[in-house]
Amino acid sequence: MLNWLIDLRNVIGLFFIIVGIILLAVVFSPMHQVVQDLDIQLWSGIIATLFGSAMLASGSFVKS
Amino acid sequence: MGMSWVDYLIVGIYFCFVLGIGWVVKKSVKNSGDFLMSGRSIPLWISSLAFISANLGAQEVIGMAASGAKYGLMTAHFYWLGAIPAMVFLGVFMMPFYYGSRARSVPEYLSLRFDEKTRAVNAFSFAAMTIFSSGVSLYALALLLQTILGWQFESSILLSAGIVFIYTFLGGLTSAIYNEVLQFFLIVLGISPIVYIGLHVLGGYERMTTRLPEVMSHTWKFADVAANNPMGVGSFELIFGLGVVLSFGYWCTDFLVVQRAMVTKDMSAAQRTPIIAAIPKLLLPLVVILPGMIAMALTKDGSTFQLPLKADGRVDFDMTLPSLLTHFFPPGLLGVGVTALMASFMSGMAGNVTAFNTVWTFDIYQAYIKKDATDAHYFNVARWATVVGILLSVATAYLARSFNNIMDLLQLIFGFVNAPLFATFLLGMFWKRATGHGAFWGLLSGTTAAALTHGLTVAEGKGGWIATVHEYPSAMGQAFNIAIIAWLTCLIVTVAISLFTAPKTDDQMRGLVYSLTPKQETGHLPFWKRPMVLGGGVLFLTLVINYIFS
Repeated sequence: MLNWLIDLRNVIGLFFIIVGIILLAVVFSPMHQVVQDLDIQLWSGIIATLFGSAMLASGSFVKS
Repeated sequence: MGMSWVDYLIVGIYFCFVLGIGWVVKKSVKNSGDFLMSGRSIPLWISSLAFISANLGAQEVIGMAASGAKYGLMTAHFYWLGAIPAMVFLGVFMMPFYYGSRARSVPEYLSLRFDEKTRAVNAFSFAAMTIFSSGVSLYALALLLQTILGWQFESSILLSAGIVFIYTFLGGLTSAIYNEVLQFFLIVLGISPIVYIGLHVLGGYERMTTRLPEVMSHTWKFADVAANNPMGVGSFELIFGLGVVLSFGYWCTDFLVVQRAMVTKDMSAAQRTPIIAAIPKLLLPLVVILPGMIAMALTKDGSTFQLPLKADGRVDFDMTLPSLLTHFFPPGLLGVGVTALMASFMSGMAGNVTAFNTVWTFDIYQAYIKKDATDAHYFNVARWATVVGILLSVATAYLARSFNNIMDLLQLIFGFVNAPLFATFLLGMFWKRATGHGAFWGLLSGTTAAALTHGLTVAEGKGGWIATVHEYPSAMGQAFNIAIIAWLTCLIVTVAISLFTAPKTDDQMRGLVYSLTPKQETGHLPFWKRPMVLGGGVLFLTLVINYIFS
């Protein structure tokens, strides 16, 4: 059932999507801080989610 | 600086994934070959990223940021001069012998090419060195967590060692390699926002360099003589000491990194592993050195960020990267940054432990203790070696805490042992007249020459324990010169003794020596599958980058 996890791209993809979503969730919480006029949290969250999605898309999870 | 619950959540998720990889991979580990050599089935992109990630441990991430703050862009020589050319050489010229000989480890290649005594010198020193490096990595991680997060030293050691133990014990080398790839991406994602924030605050790269002394923003301009640059090394020591002896000695002979290429599914992938790894390696200074330069520029600029000081008032360069993370990263991102640091320590430790269990099982236990046991027996030995490796690492971490001088001494001794190694491999692979007696005595003479040079020279108050016949302007310059002398001594003694002793027959050396190995025909392959073309392209890019930042 979890055979697709043996494909490392799926594992990395899942990890970064989860981290990206957490970072994006923080953007909409009271904890959110803008550093030196940069919303680095927002951009890091977007990049992590996009990277994770791209890894997942290239892995066997999506193909199967 | 405390972490918020969201930061701990990210650290916790990372731990779950790391352990999950071990658990998933465990199902495909059925014998010693799977456990210690990943069944020789690792895909190229994974082996390439694992190749650089195994080296992306504590010393690299924390140490290079520290050197970036201390020496500036000249630190990039450890990449653009001291790594890339050697990685290309390994892929193009040396992997055909490592992989083609079907040796399971670097010491085993020495036994096939030379003899058992040469293998023993390499196997025992390498096994001891991996435990030492793993323990130092663990100690540094615990110290870091204690300093920046206030965690207890003991808890940090037990937690980190426990996690590395579980995933390496369950999934062996495959688990370590898979985690190294995850750790590579995490390190890049977790540390690169610092570069972005820092350059934004400073107004870009060009404006950053105006805040630094000119010597800190060039790689070659001040490298002509030792007195002109903060590293205290001249161009000869830099090119020959770092660029040839130390660099080729590490990247082409250290089983920790070479192992990642030896477990690929075919010769083509094995050869291309270090060459493809060289491409991200070319860009790594942006992530590991640039933060140090940014930290120094911010400090000189009088910004709210200042490099931390030690109790004696001197700058604590080792805390450059952690202090940047805790100063700039908001909750959430701090969790990613701290996880990246932990990942770098853990990948370094896991890399050492998996290299240790392989060398112990194949090159010490099977070679000298029990030769003809079943595979199930060696599989069991390998798993126990993992347990023992982790326990010894923990013990070494405590030793480092109690006796820092002993650790410095051990590091020095291992440096002496490593310095001459590349001469042995170079002669072994490219000169069929080289003999086992020559290689063995060459290695011992090289190590002795290294120790004597250290005993007769002084730099920054270190060395000179026999007499002082020369003083170097820096410890780095002394280290580079020790390496050169050890290498030359090993080369000369190996050649001299080989000429007076009998070599193996041509049949015994087929596939192990350049002149006795059929050349591979790659002309019909596309360029990205031809190691020579790929390597040439990477070297050209390296030259361009050296020129741009010269």
